[in-house]
Amino acid sequence: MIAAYSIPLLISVSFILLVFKNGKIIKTLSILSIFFSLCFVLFSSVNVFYSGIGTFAVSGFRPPFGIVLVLDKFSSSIASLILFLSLMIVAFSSNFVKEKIKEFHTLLLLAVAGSLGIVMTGDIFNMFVFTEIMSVATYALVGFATRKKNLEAAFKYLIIGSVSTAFMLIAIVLVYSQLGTLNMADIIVKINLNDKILKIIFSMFLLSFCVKSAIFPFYIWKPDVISGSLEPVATFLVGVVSTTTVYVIIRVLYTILGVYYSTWLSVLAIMTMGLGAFFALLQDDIKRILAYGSISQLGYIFLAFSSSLIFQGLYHLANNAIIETLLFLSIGTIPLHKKRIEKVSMYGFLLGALSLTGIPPLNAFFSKFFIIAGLLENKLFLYAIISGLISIVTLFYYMKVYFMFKKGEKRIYWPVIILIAFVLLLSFAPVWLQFFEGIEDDLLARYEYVIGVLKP
Amino acid sequence: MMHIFTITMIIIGFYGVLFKGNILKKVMGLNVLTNGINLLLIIVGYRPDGIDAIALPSNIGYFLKSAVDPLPQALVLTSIVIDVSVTAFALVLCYKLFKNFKTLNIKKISTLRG
Amino acid sequence: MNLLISSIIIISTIVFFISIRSKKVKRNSVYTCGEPIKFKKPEQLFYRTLTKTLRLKKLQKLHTGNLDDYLLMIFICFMLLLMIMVMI
Repeated sequence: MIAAYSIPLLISVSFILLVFKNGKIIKTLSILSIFFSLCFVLFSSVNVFYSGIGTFAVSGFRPPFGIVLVLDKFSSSIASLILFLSLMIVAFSSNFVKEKIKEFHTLLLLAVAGSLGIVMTGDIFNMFVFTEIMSVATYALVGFATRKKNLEAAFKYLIIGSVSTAFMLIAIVLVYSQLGTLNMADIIVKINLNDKILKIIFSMFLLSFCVKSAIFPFYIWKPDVISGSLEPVATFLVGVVSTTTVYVIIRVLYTILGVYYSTWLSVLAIMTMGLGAFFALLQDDIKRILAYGSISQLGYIFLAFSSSLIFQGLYHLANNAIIETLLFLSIGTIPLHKKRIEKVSMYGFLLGALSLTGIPPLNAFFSKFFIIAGLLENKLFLYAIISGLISIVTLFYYMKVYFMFKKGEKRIYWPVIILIAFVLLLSFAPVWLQFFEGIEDDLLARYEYVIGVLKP
Repeated sequence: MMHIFTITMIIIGFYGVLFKGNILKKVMGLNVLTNGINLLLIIVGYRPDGIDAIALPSNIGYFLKSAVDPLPQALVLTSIVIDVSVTAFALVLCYKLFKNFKTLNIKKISTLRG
Repeated sequence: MNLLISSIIIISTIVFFISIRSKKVKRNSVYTCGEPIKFKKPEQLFYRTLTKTLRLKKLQKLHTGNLDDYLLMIFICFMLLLMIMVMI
């Protein structure tokens, strides 16, 4: 499986960058490394889609004993999404960060490698290690500009993130003491869901990732951290980090535990959705509005997954990641143009905002529509009504941001234009639905995952 | 016995992180917390009168009866390295925060809000 | 059919929203990306009624910006949710 080489590629390039002094070489090297790892992941995901789960045993140990990297349909699509978004972010940040270029690119590549590792690993301790790589790199990125607000945001993020990973480590230790294994496929074989202790342990694991993905009772750090960080870093936090944390929660809920309906998660998702939207209305800072908006959108994704609407949730996850990246990159042109927004980015922002609120021919309309239709089909009328109403509130806070803008001069930023193209591409819903339904079937087949990884 | 020690250590760590106002003390609390978890991880792999996890052809039977589980030790090493990096970064941040805010009190470092 | 109806509803809400935006523009210091700039801030009827009815300002005071409060809130919610999840 060639995709396994992308993680060492990214990490090694991130350290090689420290040798160079020329800014242009550093930019091209980091963009090329992410591009090649994207190619690797795409190449092996084609294999995965045609011939089943691909595994890679690190240093040759057989799967239940050593670390194993697993790529099934779900993880390969999420990995390619993450790499695509981080390619856009790196390409955009090259005209943003003028000083300390090599440190910035080193940290960004480390964070990308960490999130890629989280998605690809099949071992929960390895997942912890990659989580810490990603988190430490993002703490450093948040505090990168070393002004007052950056440092404060970095410290808040550091303490809260470390506490959540401490909970995660406790859960992993207890899993090892109870089951004697760390491999995810082996855990599926050995787990007994009626055991109270295992239930506590996995709840702790899930909640620690809920803290990282900032859903309802734990969302409180996210606006502070996003408003206190540079624009490319804020984009990375919203686009890539939250996608990986959602991935982990879904992987644990669906593949390891086999829980398809969870009431607690849907209640939390409704609260997240509502409070995120209402608090976004009260803010005056553009980045804080968008941060609360991203929290609100996460609520939709979790609502879909907690009531077993899988392909709808996957579709909204992809749409949300791409559109949030588009929104943050387009407001990222404000500091570059003397406090005015660049023209094309402004239309990009409008497109993304209209799409997230659910204007018919655009992509997020279809995903939200499918989510609400699925909720009605499952006879969850209250949830459907609330999510429909909050979708209208979404329009108000994004339009509030839009009316704050002043148009600047026209300059072409390629990442913004590529993202606009992808938003339009994702709007052809019927094509994508088949793709996501294929992933849904793969995600529901727990025992095929076990057989594919352990190869008995 | 050791279980009680580690659990008190974890609780002390949480107390330090949650209730201490000084940011350096918060970092120390975080360190105590993660060390407590590392100790928990060692206890999981502990076996009274255990031997090294190296199998020789001569002592296979004895090995199977009383070898220590080697995995938790590897995990503890990894986790210690991660803690060191997090603590180093946190201390650098504390230094920078003190230079910028001229205080170590967390209650005065609250400009981002709302 | 459902698609059509929902699209009509959404478009009509947009038209309603644009018409409700009053022409009076209040100059206000609005924060963009952390730095205060003078920006045009349109007055909205919708926000005021919503914030008044839901008492959002009181809830917003919970976001004190103090790390201690955040940690305490997260820790207590974590433990409560853990208990609830085990009970279910």
